[in-house]
Amino acid sequence: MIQRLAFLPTAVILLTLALAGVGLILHPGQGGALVSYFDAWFLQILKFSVLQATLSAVGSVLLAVPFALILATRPFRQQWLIQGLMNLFFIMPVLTVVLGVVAVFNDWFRVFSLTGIVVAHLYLNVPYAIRLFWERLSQYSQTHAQVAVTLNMTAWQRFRVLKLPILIDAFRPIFVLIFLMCFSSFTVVLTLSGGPANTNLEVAVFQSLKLDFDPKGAAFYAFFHGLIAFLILFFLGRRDQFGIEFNRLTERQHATATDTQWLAIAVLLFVLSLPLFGLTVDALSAPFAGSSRFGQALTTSLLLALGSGVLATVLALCRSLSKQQGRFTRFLDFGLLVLPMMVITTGLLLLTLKLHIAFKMTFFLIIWLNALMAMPLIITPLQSRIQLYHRRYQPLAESLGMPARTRLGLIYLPAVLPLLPWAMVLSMVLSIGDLGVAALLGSAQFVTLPILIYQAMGSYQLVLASQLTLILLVICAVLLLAAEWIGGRLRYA
Amino acid sequence: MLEVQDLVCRLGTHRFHWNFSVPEQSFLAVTGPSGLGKSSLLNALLGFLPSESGRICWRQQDLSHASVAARPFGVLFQRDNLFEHLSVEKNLSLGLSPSGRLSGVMQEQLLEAARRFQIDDLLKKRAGALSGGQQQRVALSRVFLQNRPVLLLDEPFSSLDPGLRRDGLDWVQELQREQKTTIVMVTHHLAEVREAASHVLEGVSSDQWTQYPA
Repeated sequence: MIQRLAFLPTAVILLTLALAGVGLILHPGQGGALVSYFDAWFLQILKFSVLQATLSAVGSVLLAVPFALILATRPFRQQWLIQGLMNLFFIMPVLTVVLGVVAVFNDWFRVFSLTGIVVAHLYLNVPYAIRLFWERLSQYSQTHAQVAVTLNMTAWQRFRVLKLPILIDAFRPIFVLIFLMCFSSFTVVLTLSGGPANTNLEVAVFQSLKLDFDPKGAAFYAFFHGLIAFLILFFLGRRDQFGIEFNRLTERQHATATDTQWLAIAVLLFVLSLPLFGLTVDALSAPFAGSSRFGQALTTSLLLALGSGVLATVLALCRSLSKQQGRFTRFLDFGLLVLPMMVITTGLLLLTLKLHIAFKMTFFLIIWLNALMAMPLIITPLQSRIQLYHRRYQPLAESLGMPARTRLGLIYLPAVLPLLPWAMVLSMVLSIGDLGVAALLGSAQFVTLPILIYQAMGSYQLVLASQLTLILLVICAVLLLAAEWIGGRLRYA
Repeated sequence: MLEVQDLVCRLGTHRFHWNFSVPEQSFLAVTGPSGLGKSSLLNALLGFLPSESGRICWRQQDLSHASVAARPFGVLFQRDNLFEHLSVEKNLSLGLSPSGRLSGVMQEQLLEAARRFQIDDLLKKRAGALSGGQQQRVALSRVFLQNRPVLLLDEPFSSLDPGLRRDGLDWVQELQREQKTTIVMVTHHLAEVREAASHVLEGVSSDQWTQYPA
């Protein structure tokens, strides 16, 4: 029974990919041959997609390495706080960073440009890259450092012999991961592009469908986007080298940070808090005028987030029960995070348009797709916990002849219970900040909080956009705090 | 009679070979240096370690292909004998019913065993919150409730102090007398169990074991 449950997420993912593929092939578009889309415009989009992703990934890695080296010098008491802050930048609504970058840097340079896109990507990815490099560098233990000192190795020799191989080893997977995430970036490029010259494949798909109503063009761009991302992931990315996970059980450290570490932390805190500070100042600069559709947008966003949260948690729970983690299932789980979700969304939208059920399915499709996007992020902690209990108690359970249902109820569910509120809220936070899927699938009447923010930005009401984003951020913070509180109570119940 | 006939198992590069028999209601102490396969023997008996050849027979019935639960063994491992996140009562109930659901009669049996092992005041506590000695008594009372004809013990008291180890062994002997259980106990401290044991199986190497009366 347990293994059948574990197969459910794989079945859902495969079904989604298959339906999206069918949708792209059977698109309801008319007009000329596909070859007509191979034009200068397509090359421009392709060039820009690669350029902005490369600049963002190179910048993220180059900025992250020195910070990671300093933070990994030795473990320190406050590192859980710094790691938590870095995780927060990965999960917080992208619009928060976008509006924050606009608020802080608009007077310094033209943020609605390639520079603005890269800066926003750096804010989203540098903290994550630091965390990944930091984790890798922590493998280099204090004992190794002590041995190196007794061998009279200089600081440079210690770096070259002990740390450099780890950095080189970690460079490719981290670079590929960030490149793929930026290559599939939608919200940042859509909101900060500043004109058609700065369009990537993801935005081109959106524009083809929503502005030009050219399903054939959308299918063409989506297909190429999917193909490129798949090839990069398949040939350059090996799942076991990535670490898209949020390990919450950080070991407590007792040493205080060194002076250099404090300096690095101070610089990081200052730079990272700038957009949040700018956003807050902007939002509070005028009274909240509100919007006639605010109530509707808020309710819709909360309902969608709740649905996605529940579905993602159920699917992740089922997947984490799986004993075997084959390369294929790992690839499927992980691929969903970096394969462009807009491609899958476009495929499903085209299919529902073909079947004339598009607008009846909007709500359901958004929940479904957002749940699939969130699932890879919450699987690993649930899985580690289940595997820990499995290793500890499987012999005893077998010797007692406990049936599968009893094992599920008495061993595995209690194991993950304290993590479930957190898993659900993380999925909800990711869903509530989503602009791409909702904007693509929703009709003109359909509105969520991020869509409302985007519309406010589009009509140059930047203060209103900041105010709505601040509300979104507060909702996310309340949800995360509530999850911590409930999780804590369940842990000690 | 528990008979292990030319049983050969492999674990990594180690090859184990056992050949011995234990009369019913007797106490076999399995001893020898670390790494020879004492715990592996219990895993093989339980069916966790697959065999390459040979047979395990209980009352002349071949158990080689029986599932773990279908074998006549109760077991106490070195650790993790209790589900620490569950209550003592739930842990005990799993000894009576694999699903943990008890009839009225079973509930009575559970209470009686708890009184007998002096853990009746601990029933509502989480197993993980108990001391080592209390956990030992809970695990033993679950084994008592299981009432299997053969009890396999893999140094379950080794982490306890000598006094508690002695108590544990006393409980095991009492259980053996009362339920007429056959005991197979892995131990590093042969001197501690020599009085209780009727036979000794001593490992010379992983595929060479000698059996003699205690």
